[in-house]
Amino acid sequence: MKTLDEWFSSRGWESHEYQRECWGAYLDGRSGLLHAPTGTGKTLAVWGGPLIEGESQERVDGEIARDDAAPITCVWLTPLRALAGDTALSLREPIEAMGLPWTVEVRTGDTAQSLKKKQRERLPTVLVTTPESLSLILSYPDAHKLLKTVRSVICDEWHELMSTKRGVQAELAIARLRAWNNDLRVWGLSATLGNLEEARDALVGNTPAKENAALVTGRMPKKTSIVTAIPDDMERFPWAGHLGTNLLGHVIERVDASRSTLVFTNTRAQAEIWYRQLSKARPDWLGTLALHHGSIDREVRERVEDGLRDGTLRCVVCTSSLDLGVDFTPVDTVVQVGSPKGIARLLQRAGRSGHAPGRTSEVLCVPAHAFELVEFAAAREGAKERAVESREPVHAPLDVLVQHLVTIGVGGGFVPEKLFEEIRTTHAYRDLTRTQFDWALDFVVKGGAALGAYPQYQRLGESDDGRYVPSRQNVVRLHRMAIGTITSDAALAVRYANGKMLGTIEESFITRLTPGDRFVFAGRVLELVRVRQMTATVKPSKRISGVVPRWQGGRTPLSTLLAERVRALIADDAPSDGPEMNAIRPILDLQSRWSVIPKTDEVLIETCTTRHGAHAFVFPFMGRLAHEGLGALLAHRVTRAQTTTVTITCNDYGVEIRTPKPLELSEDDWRTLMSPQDLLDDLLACGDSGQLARRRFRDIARIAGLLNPGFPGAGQSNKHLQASSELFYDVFEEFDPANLLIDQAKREVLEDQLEVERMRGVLQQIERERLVMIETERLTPLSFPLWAESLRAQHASSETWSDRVQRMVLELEEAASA
Amino acid sequence: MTATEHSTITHAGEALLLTHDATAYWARERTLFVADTHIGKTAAFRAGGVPVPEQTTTKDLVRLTEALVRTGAERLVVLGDLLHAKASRSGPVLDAFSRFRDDHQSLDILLVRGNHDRSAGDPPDDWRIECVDPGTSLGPFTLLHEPADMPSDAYDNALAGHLHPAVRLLDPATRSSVRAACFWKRSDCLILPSFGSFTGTHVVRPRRGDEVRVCADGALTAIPT
Repeated sequence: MKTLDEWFSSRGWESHEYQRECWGAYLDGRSGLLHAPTGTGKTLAVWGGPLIEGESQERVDGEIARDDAAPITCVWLTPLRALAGDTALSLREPIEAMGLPWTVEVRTGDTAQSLKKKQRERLPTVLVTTPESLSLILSYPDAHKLLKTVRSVICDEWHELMSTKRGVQAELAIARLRAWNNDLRVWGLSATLGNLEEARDALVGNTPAKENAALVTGRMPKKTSIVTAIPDDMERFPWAGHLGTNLLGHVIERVDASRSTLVFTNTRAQAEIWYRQLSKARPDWLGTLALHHGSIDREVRERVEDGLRDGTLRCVVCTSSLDLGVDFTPVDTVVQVGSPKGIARLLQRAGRSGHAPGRTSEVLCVPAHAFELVEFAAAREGAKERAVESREPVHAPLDVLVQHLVTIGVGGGFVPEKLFEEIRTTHAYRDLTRTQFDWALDFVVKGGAALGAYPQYQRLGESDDGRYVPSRQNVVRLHRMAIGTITSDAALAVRYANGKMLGTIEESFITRLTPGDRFVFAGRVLELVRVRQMTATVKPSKRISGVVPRWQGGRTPLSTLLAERVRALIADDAPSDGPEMNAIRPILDLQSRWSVIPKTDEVLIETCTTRHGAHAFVFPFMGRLAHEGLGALLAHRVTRAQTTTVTITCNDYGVEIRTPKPLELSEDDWRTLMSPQDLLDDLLACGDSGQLARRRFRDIARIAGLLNPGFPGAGQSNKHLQASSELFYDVFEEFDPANLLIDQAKREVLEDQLEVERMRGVLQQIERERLVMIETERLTPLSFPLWAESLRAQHASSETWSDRVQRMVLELEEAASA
Repeated sequence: MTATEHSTITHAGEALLLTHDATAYWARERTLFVADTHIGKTAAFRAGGVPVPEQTTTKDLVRLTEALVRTGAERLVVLGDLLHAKASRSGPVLDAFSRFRDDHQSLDILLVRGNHDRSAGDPPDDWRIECVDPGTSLGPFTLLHEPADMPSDAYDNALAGHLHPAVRLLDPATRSSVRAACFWKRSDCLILPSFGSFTGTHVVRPRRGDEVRVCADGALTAIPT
């Protein structure tokens, strides 16, 4: 057996300061968080501690004291199952080199049945797994026996997990492991965040270990070069639009000058379009140009990743699908198409390049329209100052709690008081009240607090010894099936007739096509042959064009951090002479000629009448989500004060209110409309937030175990138990309004989707600022993109559902009689 | 065309009054038609370990009573799927329906057996429900649960359920769509929307010439095809 130092020496490596700091802290029994932009040293920094500890424990008189592999000591959590394989390889390397009698295995939804069976009896020394799979193991009645020797938990890419419900699921699982081993150490690996202490607290939990937890800064990157492609002809450059393909030439030039390039786009549809444009422009790149996104078949993706690893691909067009994972050494350039909407994201993407020794990270920023020049300038400056966004952890989600109660109930049972205390050791549920816990318990035991409302229902019941355990066997089976499900919309497999799998596509897109229709997918033009059950059969089309599918993954809104900087740059507070601002100067000049450029303490309101109606544009620069909430609020308040129909459109910079006739609002009227007073009540009264809550409920219903996954081959018996989440929502709303899951849906809509608190903050700020009202003759550089948005996006409206149906019918009739 | 609470449609030479609450009334024979009540569906879910409140049963029976009283119907025909599953034959469900039966002592009730009825079993005898197989005639109508896969020449006078039909209306203004339950009169068959509250819908594609009435929030609206 070798020591870790000996292994390092044999590789010709020297350990870094931050690595030794982590090892030392770990060996002292401390938990902690290591943060840095992506880089290979991180894994070893966090892995070294357990390796050193393991090596000294395995030595007995200089001899290895066992014949079989050591029992499980470490759980390594990863957010993506696709990364697990590579992770296991890098963890195994030092183990084998050091000669430790340790096994490393992966356990995810993809793991083979035969291996799962073996793991059911005994877990490997190191288990690389996902939060769901760990929960699944906790649901075995002998979970305690299987996991009691775990000494450490390591959470990889913790910044990705921590702001999601899966992060909360991880916290709950860690709390359980901690209950079984007081000395459990929890470590996390994270990218740089604006709220690192909070990220560490979420990891370590609400425990004494918190006081002593470490926060270590990893190796800071070599230089990062961020350059924006400036359009040659600004006059032809669009003010609105999302594709950015006018700058195709700049990208091609850059790819030619590099060895291996990743071209990041913000949506899958964009990736498909860019891939086709690049292949049409450069047919000589055939074989070295590839496409990679989440809906493409895994095998194809893996081949692309191999090609990146061995440098045979010169260019890969991708989405966030290549954000995480092993570094590809040959990649020396990254292109970011369209605004990254956040400084952290730009840095993270830049960090995917320049890993060969002596290289720097290079990113070429490609704006899709004029104002993205400003966003890139703001991001570049923010990156220089290392100002990065925070990721908010999810606070006390009740659906995850409900799922966890059933998991523990099924996995050995629990005594409520003790489980309550254990759950409160997590960061997410540190403030959980006994009332909320009891509600969740009632939900799984008798359906809800309302007496008699759920006759003959029971998932868990109290056994003779006071523990809560499953009341019948099918509860166990259904729960285990449910934990394993993935969180996406129904997706259909796309295959050729010979069975070859191309990828998956959302049901909502396919159902609008009829056989014979063409669409572009996985870089090819395909013709739909038939749709049966969950498979769409296609054949290659000879035609050269087709519809590009739209995926539901919403567009990311501009982060608050970036929005503030964009606002400041436009306001010209500290005139910037960067290339981006110089390029956009003529457009900003136009804005000040036709309208006004607001200063940072001014809110611009433009009014304008066109043949489409009367428009009022308000520019708070809060980011799209908060503007959607503001839009719903304004629509509600306007229609309450006047009889008119209001159409709302939003983008990251502002809100458009369009009415048949001008609203004729004075400054006081606007102040009243945008007052933070009664904000919450008015938002709740809007028809829209009710509909949004109903849609939001889908995820909650799934997590809380209301929706049956309906596995193929599960037999007809399951079909009787399938109902949509909307049905559940309606029936709970009507008959069990105290149901906290409905409450959660409404709260999530207000907080996550409409960003009520952010909105309140901005409305309060607007109260203190000057309103600049101006009537313009035509749409301006600021208002035009917002107007263009209305032609493609969904927007809020104050219509009731039946009014909306009436209107649509009317339009259908007009169209029919035309 | 404005939204109304009810609308008359002609089928097999007879006038039928359709309401937004998923019922069809044949005034000449004082018969009320509904389809897919799925009584006891929530009970089946609870038995399966999924918490759904029970009150939908009461609510649906109240709605049925309302429709019967308003029309003065002397006969109720259920076009299939009266009960949802075997597990629906539980205490509270049976009690609720018995009370409903008591409230309408002299009402004739006819059930056309549907796929769910086949697994749930025929209703209890003391409910006094006459059960017939699909294909039975009633006056000029042929009673079905499942409509034929393709409109065929076999029927032109059928009444059916089973599909829980809905149409998807596209909203060009917002580029979104709305799903609404509907009555669908094809060349062969009038298909009723599902009556039960806790039932889902299935989007159908009417052809030119079909008649469609959308049930939306207390109103019934015809849409062009």
